[in-house]
Amino acid sequence: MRKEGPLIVMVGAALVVVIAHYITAINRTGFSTSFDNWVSVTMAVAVGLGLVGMTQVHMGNVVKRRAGFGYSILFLIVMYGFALLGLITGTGAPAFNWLFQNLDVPLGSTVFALLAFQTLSAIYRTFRFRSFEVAVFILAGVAVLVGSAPIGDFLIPHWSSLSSWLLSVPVSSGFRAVALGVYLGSFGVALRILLGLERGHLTGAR
Amino acid sequence: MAKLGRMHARWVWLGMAVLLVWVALKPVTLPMRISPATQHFYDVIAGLPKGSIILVGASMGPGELSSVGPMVTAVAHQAFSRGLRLAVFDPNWDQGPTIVGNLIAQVAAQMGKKYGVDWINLGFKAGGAATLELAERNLSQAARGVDANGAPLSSFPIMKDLPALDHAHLGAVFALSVGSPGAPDFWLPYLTQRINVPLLVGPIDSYVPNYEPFVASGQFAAMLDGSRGAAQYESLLHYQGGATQAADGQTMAALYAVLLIVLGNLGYFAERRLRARPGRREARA
Repeated sequence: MRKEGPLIVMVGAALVVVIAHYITAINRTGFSTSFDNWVSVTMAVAVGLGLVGMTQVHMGNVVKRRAGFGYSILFLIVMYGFALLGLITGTGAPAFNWLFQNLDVPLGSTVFALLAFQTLSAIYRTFRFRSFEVAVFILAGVAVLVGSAPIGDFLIPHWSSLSSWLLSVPVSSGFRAVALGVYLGSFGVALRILLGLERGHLTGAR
Repeated sequence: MAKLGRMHARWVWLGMAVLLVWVALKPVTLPMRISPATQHFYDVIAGLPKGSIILVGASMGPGELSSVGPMVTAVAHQAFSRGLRLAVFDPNWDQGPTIVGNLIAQVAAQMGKKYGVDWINLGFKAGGAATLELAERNLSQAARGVDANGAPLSSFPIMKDLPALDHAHLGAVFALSVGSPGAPDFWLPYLTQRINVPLLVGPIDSYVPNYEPFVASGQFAAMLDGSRGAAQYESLLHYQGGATQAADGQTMAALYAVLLIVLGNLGYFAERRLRARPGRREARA
Protein backbone atom coordinates (compact mmCIF):
# COMPACT_ATOMS: atom_id res chain seq x y z
CA MET A 1 0.00 0.00 0.00
CA ARG A 2 3.01 2.28 0.41
CA LYS A 3 3.26 2.40 -3.36
CA GLU A 4 -0.38 2.04 -4.32
CA GLY A 5 -1.73 4.69 -1.89
CA PRO A 6 0.14 7.68 -3.33
CA LEU A 7 -0.45 6.33 -6.83
CA ILE A 8 -4.24 6.21 -6.36
CA VAL A 9 -4.28 9.73 -4.88
CA MET A 10 -2.11 11.08 -7.70
CA VAL A 11 -3.95 9.45 -10.59
CA GLY A 12 -7.35 10.30 -9.07
CA ALA A 13 -6.44 13.97 -8.58
CA ALA A 14 -4.88 14.23 -12.04
CA LEU A 15 -7.92 12.68 -13.72
CA VAL A 16 -10.33 15.05 -11.94
CA VAL A 17 -8.28 18.09 -13.04
CA VAL A 18 -7.94 16.83 -16.64
CA ILE A 19 -11.62 15.83 -16.99
CA ALA A 20 -12.80 19.06 -15.31
CA HIS A 21 -10.94 20.94 -18.01
CA TYR A 22 -13.17 19.38 -20.68
CA ILE A 23 -16.48 18.78 -18.88
CA THR A 24 -18.09 21.88 -17.38
CA ALA A 25 -20.40 19.90 -15.05
CA ILE A 26 -17.41 18.39 -13.24
CA ASN A 27 -15.69 21.77 -13.19
CA ARG A 28 -18.70 23.20 -11.32
CA THR A 29 -18.37 20.67 -8.51
CA GLY A 30 -15.35 22.65 -7.26
CA PHE A 31 -13.10 19.59 -6.94
CA SER A 32 -10.64 20.98 -9.46
CA THR A 33 -10.46 24.32 -7.61
CA SER A 34 -9.88 22.50 -4.31
CA PHE A 35 -7.03 20.51 -5.81
CA ASP A 36 -5.51 23.72 -7.20
CA ASN A 37 -5.72 25.21 -3.70
CA TRP A 38 -4.06 22.13 -2.23
CA VAL A 39 -1.17 22.47 -4.67
CA SER A 40 -0.69 26.09 -3.56
CA VAL A 41 -0.58 25.01 0.08
CA THR A 42 1.80 22.13 -0.72
CA MET A 43 4.12 24.49 -2.58
CA ALA A 44 4.16 26.85 0.42
CA VAL A 45 5.03 23.92 2.69
CA ALA A 46 7.80 22.96 0.23
CA VAL A 47 9.39 26.39 0.78
CA GLY A 48 9.43 25.68 4.51
CA LEU A 49 10.99 22.28 3.86
CA GLY A 50 13.67 23.99 1.78
CA LEU A 51 14.44 26.23 4.76
CA VAL A 52 14.82 23.19 7.01
CA GLY A 53 17.00 21.38 4.46
CA MET A 54 19.32 24.34 3.94
CA THR A 55 19.60 24.82 7.70
CA GLN A 56 20.57 21.15 8.18
CA VAL A 57 23.24 21.29 5.48
CA HIS A 58 24.82 24.54 6.65
CA MET A 59 24.53 23.79 10.38
CA GLY A 60 26.33 20.53 9.59
CA ASN A 61 29.13 22.52 7.93
CA VAL A 62 29.44 24.78 10.97
CA VAL A 63 29.29 22.03 13.63
CA LYS A 64 31.86 19.85 11.83
CA ARG A 65 34.06 22.86 10.95
CA ARG A 66 34.15 21.87 7.29
CA ALA A 67 36.23 23.96 4.88
CA GLY A 68 34.55 27.29 4.25
CA PHE A 69 32.17 26.95 7.22
CA GLY A 70 32.38 30.73 7.67
CA TYR A 71 30.31 31.12 4.52
CA SER A 72 27.71 28.81 6.03
CA ILE A 73 27.49 31.04 9.12
CA LEU A 74 27.07 34.08 6.89
CA PHE A 75 24.44 32.27 4.84
CA LEU A 76 22.41 31.31 7.93
CA ILE A 77 22.58 34.84 9.34
CA VAL A 78 21.43 36.37 6.06
CA MET A 79 18.73 33.75 5.41
CA TYR A 80 17.15 33.92 8.86
CA GLY A 81 17.76 37.67 9.20
CA PHE A 82 15.96 38.38 5.95
CA ALA A 83 13.15 35.93 6.75
CA LEU A 84 12.63 37.40 10.25
CA LEU A 85 12.65 40.95 8.94
CA GLY A 86 10.01 39.99 6.37
CA LEU A 87 7.89 38.23 8.97
CA ILE A 88 8.09 41.09 11.49
CA THR A 89 7.81 44.12 9.22
CA GLY A 90 6.06 42.58 6.18
CA THR A 91 7.52 42.28 2.70
CA GLY A 92 6.21 45.67 1.70
CA ALA A 93 7.98 47.52 4.54
CA PRO A 94 10.58 50.14 3.53
CA ALA A 95 13.42 48.39 5.41
CA PHE A 96 12.74 45.03 3.74
CA ASN A 97 12.34 46.65 0.34
CA TRP A 98 15.52 48.72 0.81
CA LEU A 99 17.57 45.62 1.60
CA PHE A 100 16.06 43.77 -1.34
CA GLN A 101 16.63 46.61 -3.79
CA ASN A 102 20.11 47.52 -2.59
CA LEU A 103 21.58 44.10 -1.80
CA ASP A 104 19.73 41.32 -3.54
CA VAL A 105 19.08 43.04 -6.86
CA PRO A 106 22.59 44.51 -7.46
CA LEU A 107 24.31 41.29 -6.34
CA GLY A 108 22.13 39.22 -8.66
CA SER A 109 22.74 41.61 -11.56
CA THR A 110 26.49 41.57 -10.90
CA VAL A 111 26.68 37.78 -11.06
CA PHE A 112 24.66 37.81 -14.30
CA ALA A 113 26.86 40.55 -15.79
CA LEU A 114 29.98 38.47 -15.13
CA LEU A 115 28.68 36.07 -17.78
CA ALA A 116 29.56 38.65 -20.43
CA PHE A 117 33.22 38.57 -19.36
CA GLN A 118 33.31 34.77 -19.32
CA THR A 119 31.63 34.61 -22.73
CA LEU A 120 34.15 37.02 -24.26
CA SER A 121 37.01 35.00 -22.85
CA ALA A 122 35.47 31.81 -24.30
CA ILE A 123 34.98 33.48 -27.69
CA TYR A 124 38.63 34.54 -27.74
CA ARG A 125 39.92 31.07 -26.86
CA THR A 126 37.61 28.92 -29.01
CA PHE A 127 36.66 30.86 -32.15
CA ARG A 128 39.59 29.63 -34.29
CA PHE A 129 39.26 28.89 -38.02
CA ARG A 130 40.30 25.24 -37.67
CA SER A 131 37.92 23.83 -40.29
CA PHE A 132 35.22 24.84 -42.75
CA GLU A 133 32.42 23.92 -40.30
CA VAL A 134 33.97 26.03 -37.54
CA ALA A 135 34.39 28.91 -39.98
CA VAL A 136 30.66 28.81 -40.82
CA PHE A 137 29.86 28.73 -37.10
CA ILE A 138 32.12 31.72 -36.36
CA LEU A 139 30.83 33.80 -39.28
CA ALA A 140 27.20 33.12 -38.31
CA GLY A 141 28.05 34.01 -34.69
CA VAL A 142 29.69 37.29 -35.72
CA ALA A 143 26.76 38.13 -38.02
CA VAL A 144 24.28 37.70 -35.16
CA LEU A 145 26.51 39.37 -32.55
CA VAL A 146 27.19 42.51 -34.55
CA GLY A 147 23.72 42.53 -36.10
CA SER A 148 22.17 42.51 -32.61
CA ALA A 149 23.97 45.75 -31.69
CA PRO A 150 23.13 49.13 -33.24
CA ILE A 151 26.62 49.21 -34.77
CA GLY A 152 25.58 46.47 -37.26
CA ASP A 153 23.18 48.66 -39.23
CA PHE A 154 25.53 51.62 -38.79
CA LEU A 155 28.37 49.74 -40.55
CA ILE A 156 26.30 47.94 -43.20
CA PRO A 157 22.64 48.90 -43.80
CA HIS A 158 20.25 46.01 -43.07
CA TRP A 159 22.86 43.94 -41.24
CA SER A 160 20.25 43.47 -38.52
CA SER A 161 17.90 41.99 -41.15
CA LEU A 162 20.51 39.33 -41.91
CA SER A 163 20.89 38.69 -38.18
CA SER A 164 17.10 38.41 -37.77
CA TRP A 165 16.86 36.05 -40.76
CA LEU A 166 19.55 33.81 -39.30
CA LEU A 167 17.64 33.66 -36.02
CA SER A 168 14.17 33.26 -37.42
CA VAL A 169 14.87 30.77 -40.25
CA PRO A 170 17.86 28.41 -39.80
CA VAL A 171 18.09 28.67 -35.99
CA SER A 172 14.34 28.60 -35.51
CA SER A 173 13.84 25.52 -37.71
CA GLY A 174 16.59 23.66 -35.87
CA PHE A 175 15.15 24.60 -32.51
CA ARG A 176 11.64 23.66 -33.59
CA ALA A 177 12.84 20.14 -34.35
CA VAL A 178 14.48 19.87 -30.92
CA ALA A 179 11.44 21.35 -29.19
CA LEU A 180 9.06 18.92 -30.90
CA GLY A 181 11.15 16.01 -29.68
CA VAL A 182 11.24 17.41 -26.14
CA TYR A 183 7.48 18.04 -26.05
CA LEU A 184 6.62 14.60 -27.41
CA GLY A 185 8.94 13.08 -24.79
CA SER A 186 7.38 15.18 -22.01
CA PHE A 187 3.88 14.18 -23.13
CA GLY A 188 4.92 10.53 -23.08
CA VAL A 189 6.31 10.84 -19.56
CA ALA A 190 3.19 12.72 -18.36
CA LEU A 191 0.97 10.01 -19.82
CA ARG A 192 3.03 7.26 -18.20
CA ILE A 193 2.77 9.06 -14.80
CA LEU A 194 -0.98 9.52 -15.24
CA LEU A 195 -1.46 5.85 -16.09
CA GLY A 196 0.67 4.79 -13.14
CA LEU A 197 3.34 3.19 -15.35
CA GLU A 198 6.07 5.59 -14.17
CA ARG A 199 6.60 5.15 -10.42
CA GLY A 200 10.20 6.21 -9.88
CA HIS A 201 9.17 9.58 -8.43
CA LEU A 202 7.02 7.86 -5.78
CA THR A 203 9.53 5.38 -4.45
CA GLY A 204 12.85 6.96 -5.28
CA ALA A 205 13.62 3.82 -7.31
CA ARG A 206 15.32 4.17 -10.69
CA MET B 1 52.63 37.32 -33.26
CA ALA B 2 51.95 33.83 -31.82
CA LYS B 3 51.52 35.43 -28.38
CA LEU B 4 48.34 37.14 -29.61
CA GLY B 5 46.55 33.81 -29.37
CA ARG B 6 47.69 33.13 -25.80
CA MET B 7 46.62 36.29 -24.02
CA HIS B 8 45.58 35.65 -20.41
CA ALA B 9 41.86 35.97 -19.65
CA ARG B 10 42.54 38.84 -17.21
CA TRP B 11 43.68 41.09 -20.10
CA VAL B 12 40.57 40.17 -22.07
CA TRP B 13 38.40 41.13 -19.08
CA LEU B 14 40.36 44.32 -18.42
CA GLY B 15 39.88 45.44 -22.02
CA MET B 16 36.14 44.81 -21.75
CA ALA B 17 35.90 46.68 -18.44
CA VAL B 18 37.78 49.71 -19.82
CA LEU B 19 35.55 49.84 -22.90
CA LEU B 20 32.34 49.57 -20.85
CA VAL B 21 33.41 52.28 -18.41
CA TRP B 22 34.46 54.50 -21.29
CA VAL B 23 31.16 54.11 -23.13
CA ALA B 24 29.22 54.67 -19.89
CA LEU B 25 31.04 57.97 -19.36
CA LYS B 26 30.85 59.02 -23.01
CA PRO B 27 27.70 57.58 -24.62
CA VAL B 28 27.72 57.46 -28.41
CA THR B 29 24.02 56.52 -28.97
CA LEU B 30 24.03 55.27 -32.56
CA PRO B 31 20.79 55.54 -34.54
CA MET B 32 18.63 52.39 -34.52
CA ARG B 33 16.47 50.83 -37.20
CA ILE B 34 13.14 49.67 -35.81
CA SER B 35 12.63 46.01 -36.66
CA PRO B 36 9.19 44.79 -37.79
CA ALA B 37 9.03 42.64 -34.62
CA THR B 38 9.44 45.66 -32.32
CA GLN B 39 6.99 47.71 -34.37
CA HIS B 40 4.45 44.90 -34.10
CA PHE B 41 4.95 44.68 -30.31
CA TYR B 42 4.27 48.42 -30.08
CA ASP B 43 1.24 48.13 -32.36
CA VAL B 44 -0.37 45.32 -30.34
CA ILE B 45 -0.31 47.44 -27.18
CA ALA B 46 -1.37 50.53 -29.11
CA GLY B 47 -4.35 48.60 -30.47
CA LEU B 48 -5.78 47.70 -27.05
CA PRO B 49 -8.94 49.61 -26.05
CA LYS B 50 -8.50 52.34 -23.42
CA GLY B 51 -8.90 50.98 -19.90
CA SER B 52 -7.79 47.45 -20.84
CA ILE B 53 -5.76 45.60 -18.26
CA ILE B 54 -2.40 44.03 -19.16
CA LEU B 55 -1.22 41.28 -16.86
CA VAL B 56 2.54 41.54 -16.33
CA GLY B 57 3.98 38.08 -15.73
CA ALA B 58 7.00 38.89 -13.59
CA SER B 59 8.96 35.71 -14.36
CA MET B 60 12.41 37.03 -13.51
CA GLY B 61 15.03 37.29 -10.78
CA PRO B 62 17.40 40.06 -9.74
CA GLY B 63 20.05 38.83 -12.18
CA GLU B 64 17.96 39.69 -15.19
CA LEU B 65 17.03 43.21 -14.10
CA SER B 66 19.43 44.87 -16.54
CA SER B 67 18.14 42.73 -19.43
CA VAL B 68 14.39 42.83 -19.00
CA GLY B 69 13.94 45.73 -16.55
CA PRO B 70 13.98 48.34 -19.36
CA MET B 71 11.25 46.37 -21.17
CA VAL B 72 8.97 46.61 -18.12
CA THR B 73 9.61 50.34 -17.80
CA ALA B 74 8.94 50.89 -21.50
CA VAL B 75 5.72 48.82 -21.48
CA ALA B 76 4.54 50.79 -18.42
CA HIS B 77 5.29 54.05 -20.27
CA GLN B 78 3.29 53.03 -23.32
CA ALA B 79 0.45 51.48 -21.31
CA PHE B 80 -0.02 54.43 -18.95
CA SER B 81 0.26 56.99 -21.75
CA ARG B 82 -2.57 55.18 -23.60
CA GLY B 83 -4.82 54.87 -20.55
CA LEU B 84 -4.20 51.13 -20.10
CA ARG B 85 -3.87 49.50 -16.70
CA LEU B 86 -1.33 46.97 -15.37
CA ALA B 87 -1.52 44.06 -12.94
CA VAL B 88 1.69 42.37 -11.79
CA PHE B 89 1.54 38.72 -10.77
CA ASP B 90 3.65 35.58 -10.75
CA PRO B 91 3.09 32.17 -9.14
CA ASN B 92 6.62 30.86 -9.83
CA TRP B 93 9.26 33.55 -9.43
CA ASP B 94 9.24 34.81 -5.86
CA GLN B 95 11.39 37.90 -6.39
CA GLY B 96 10.00 38.94 -9.78
CA PRO B 97 6.84 40.77 -8.68
CA THR B 98 8.75 42.91 -6.15
CA ILE B 99 11.32 43.98 -8.77
CA VAL B 100 8.74 44.57 -11.50
CA GLY B 101 6.42 46.33 -9.05
CA ASN B 102 9.18 48.75 -8.07
CA LEU B 103 9.93 49.52 -11.73
CA ILE B 104 6.27 50.20 -12.51
CA ALA B 105 5.87 52.28 -9.34
CA GLN B 106 8.62 54.62 -10.60
CA VAL B 107 6.90 55.10 -13.97
CA ALA B 108 3.49 55.48 -12.30
CA ALA B 109 4.88 58.19 -10.00
CA GLN B 110 6.36 60.06 -12.99
CA MET B 111 3.09 59.84 -14.94
CA GLY B 112 0.75 60.56 -12.05
CA LYS B 113 -0.87 57.09 -12.02
CA LYS B 114 -2.42 55.74 -8.84
CA TYR B 115 -1.74 52.39 -7.19
CA GLY B 116 -4.88 50.30 -6.97
CA VAL B 117 -6.57 52.33 -9.69
CA ASP B 118 -4.21 52.29 -12.66
CA TRP B 119 -2.02 49.40 -11.60
CA ILE B 120 -1.65 46.79 -8.88
CA ASN B 121 1.00 44.37 -7.68
CA LEU B 122 -0.60 41.05 -6.74
CA GLY B 123 2.83 39.74 -5.80
CA PHE B 124 4.19 36.21 -5.75
CA LYS B 125 1.65 33.58 -4.80
CA ALA B 126 3.11 30.07 -4.75
CA GLY B 127 1.53 27.23 -6.65
CA GLY B 128 2.67 27.53 -10.26
CA ALA B 129 0.20 26.19 -12.81
CA ALA B 130 -2.44 25.34 -10.19
CA THR B 131 -2.49 28.93 -8.88
CA LEU B 132 -2.74 30.28 -12.42
CA GLU B 133 -5.62 27.93 -13.23
CA LEU B 134 -7.36 29.10 -10.08
CA ALA B 135 -6.73 32.73 -11.08
CA GLU B 136 -8.49 32.01 -14.36
CA ARG B 137 -11.65 31.35 -12.33
CA ASN B 138 -11.12 33.54 -9.26
CA LEU B 139 -8.15 35.89 -9.11
CA SER B 140 -8.79 37.09 -5.58
CA GLN B 141 -8.78 33.52 -4.28
CA ALA B 142 -5.59 32.71 -6.20
CA ALA B 143 -3.93 35.82 -4.75
CA ARG B 144 -5.10 34.79 -1.21
CA GLY B 145 -7.20 37.96 -1.10
CA VAL B 146 -4.26 40.35 -0.65
CA ASP B 147 -1.84 42.30 -2.82
CA ALA B 148 1.98 42.12 -2.63
CA ASN B 149 2.01 44.26 0.52
CA GLY B 150 -0.72 42.33 2.30
CA ALA B 151 -3.48 44.88 1.70
CA PRO B 152 -6.97 43.43 1.01
CA LEU B 153 -7.75 43.30 -2.70
CA SER B 154 -11.32 44.43 -2.09
CA SER B 155 -9.98 47.90 -1.23
CA PHE B 156 -8.61 48.47 -4.77
CA PRO B 157 -10.96 49.74 -7.52
CA ILE B 158 -8.96 48.02 -10.28
CA MET B 159 -9.89 44.61 -8.86
CA LYS B 160 -13.58 45.23 -9.63
CA ASP B 161 -12.63 45.05 -13.30
CA LEU B 162 -10.34 42.06 -12.82
CA PRO B 163 -12.20 39.33 -10.93
CA ALA B 164 -10.51 36.63 -13.00
CA LEU B 165 -7.71 36.24 -15.52
CA ASP B 166 -9.97 35.47 -18.45
CA HIS B 167 -10.78 36.70 -21.93
CA ALA B 168 -13.48 39.06 -20.74
CA HIS B 169 -11.25 40.96 -18.32
CA LEU B 170 -7.71 40.84 -19.73
CA GLY B 171 -6.53 42.84 -22.73
CA ALA B 172 -3.17 41.10 -23.03
CA VAL B 173 -0.47 39.33 -21.07
CA PHE B 174 3.07 40.67 -21.09
CA ALA B 175 5.29 37.88 -19.83
CA LEU B 176 8.94 38.28 -19.01
CA SER B 177 10.86 35.14 -19.83
CA VAL B 178 14.33 34.53 -18.49
CA GLY B 179 14.28 30.80 -17.85
CA SER B 180 11.90 28.02 -16.96
CA PRO B 181 9.03 28.41 -16.15
CA GLY B 182 8.68 31.19 -18.69
CA ALA B 183 6.54 32.24 -21.61
CA PRO B 184 6.49 29.05 -23.73
CA ASP B 185 6.19 26.48 -20.94
CA PHE B 186 4.02 28.41 -18.51
CA TRP B 187 2.18 31.53 -19.61
CA LEU B 188 1.30 30.15 -23.03
CA PRO B 189 -0.07 26.69 -22.13
CA TYR B 190 -1.59 27.58 -18.77
CA LEU B 191 -3.14 30.95 -19.56
CA THR B 192 -3.08 32.74 -22.91
CA GLN B 193 -3.76 29.68 -25.06
CA ARG B 194 -6.67 28.68 -22.84
CA ILE B 195 -8.31 32.09 -22.59
CA ASN B 196 -7.35 33.33 -26.07
CA VAL B 197 -5.59 36.54 -25.06
CA PRO B 198 -2.53 37.96 -26.88
CA LEU B 199 0.77 36.98 -25.28
CA LEU B 200 3.53 39.59 -25.50
CA VAL B 201 6.94 38.32 -24.52
CA GLY B 202 10.04 40.05 -23.16
CA PRO B 203 12.91 37.54 -23.13
CA ILE B 204 16.59 37.84 -22.34
CA ASP B 205 18.81 37.91 -25.44
CA SER B 206 19.89 34.28 -25.30
CA TYR B 207 16.29 33.02 -25.48
CA VAL B 208 15.34 34.97 -28.59
CA PRO B 209 16.34 32.19 -31.06
CA ASN B 210 14.51 29.58 -28.96
CA TYR B 211 11.33 31.62 -29.02
CA GLU B 212 11.29 32.48 -32.74
CA PRO B 213 9.15 29.41 -33.60
CA PHE B 214 6.44 30.60 -31.21
CA VAL B 215 6.36 34.00 -32.91
CA ALA B 216 6.28 32.39 -36.36
CA SER B 217 3.38 30.14 -35.33
CA GLY B 218 1.43 33.08 -33.89
CA GLN B 219 1.39 31.59 -30.38
CA PHE B 220 3.31 34.66 -29.18
CA ALA B 221 1.42 37.70 -30.45
CA ALA B 222 4.64 39.74 -30.36
CA MET B 223 8.12 39.59 -28.87
CA LEU B 224 10.89 42.07 -28.14
CA ASP B 225 14.22 40.75 -29.47
CA GLY B 226 16.05 40.93 -26.15
CA SER B 227 17.93 44.11 -25.28
CA ARG B 228 18.10 45.09 -28.96
CA GLY B 229 14.31 45.00 -29.16
CA ALA B 230 14.01 46.89 -25.89
CA ALA B 231 16.29 49.67 -27.17
CA GLN B 232 14.25 49.91 -30.39
CA TYR B 233 11.03 49.98 -28.36
CA GLU B 234 12.38 52.87 -26.26
CA SER B 235 13.28 54.64 -29.48
CA LEU B 236 9.68 54.18 -30.70
CA LEU B 237 8.42 55.66 -27.45
CA HIS B 238 10.81 58.61 -27.87
CA TYR B 239 12.69 58.27 -24.63
CA GLN B 240 16.13 57.05 -23.62
CA GLY B 241 15.94 54.39 -20.92
CA GLY B 242 18.13 51.60 -19.68
CA ALA B 243 18.06 49.65 -22.94
CA THR B 244 19.26 52.62 -25.00
CA GLN B 245 22.16 53.12 -22.60
CA ALA B 246 22.91 49.38 -22.68
CA ALA B 247 22.94 49.44 -26.50
CA ASP B 248 26.22 51.39 -26.39
CA GLY B 249 27.75 48.69 -24.21
CA GLN B 250 26.39 46.06 -26.58
CA THR B 251 28.02 47.82 -29.53
CA MET B 252 31.36 47.97 -27.73
CA ALA B 253 31.15 44.33 -26.63
CA ALA B 254 30.32 43.21 -30.19
CA LEU B 255 33.23 45.15 -31.69
CA TYR B 256 35.57 43.94 -28.97
CA ALA B 257 34.48 40.33 -29.55
CA VAL B 258 35.26 40.68 -33.27
CA LEU B 259 38.67 42.19 -32.42
CA LEU B 260 39.38 39.27 -30.07
CA ILE B 261 38.40 36.74 -32.75
CA VAL B 262 40.79 38.43 -35.20
CA LEU B 263 43.62 38.59 -32.65
CA GLY B 264 43.06 34.99 -31.56
CA ASN B 265 43.16 33.75 -35.14
CA LEU B 266 46.24 35.82 -36.01
CA GLY B 267 47.98 34.17 -33.08
CA TYR B 268 46.62 30.73 -34.02
CA PHE B 269 47.86 30.89 -37.61
CA ALA B 270 51.21 32.39 -36.58
CA GLU B 271 51.71 29.50 -34.15
CA ARG B 272 50.74 26.94 -36.80
CA ARG B 273 53.23 28.46 -39.21
CA LEU B 274 55.90 28.42 -36.52
CA ARG B 275 55.25 24.74 -35.81
CA ALA B 276 55.35 23.87 -39.51
CA ARG B 277 58.85 25.37 -39.99
CA PRO B 278 61.38 22.61 -40.84
CA GLY B 279 64.09 24.09 -38.60
CA ARG B 280 61.77 24.03 -35.58
CA ARG B 281 60.72 20.44 -36.25
CA GLU B 282 64.37 19.36 -36.47
CA ALA B 283 65.31 21.28 -33.34
CA ARG B 284 62.48 19.50 -31.49
CA ALA B 285 63.58 16.13 -32.80
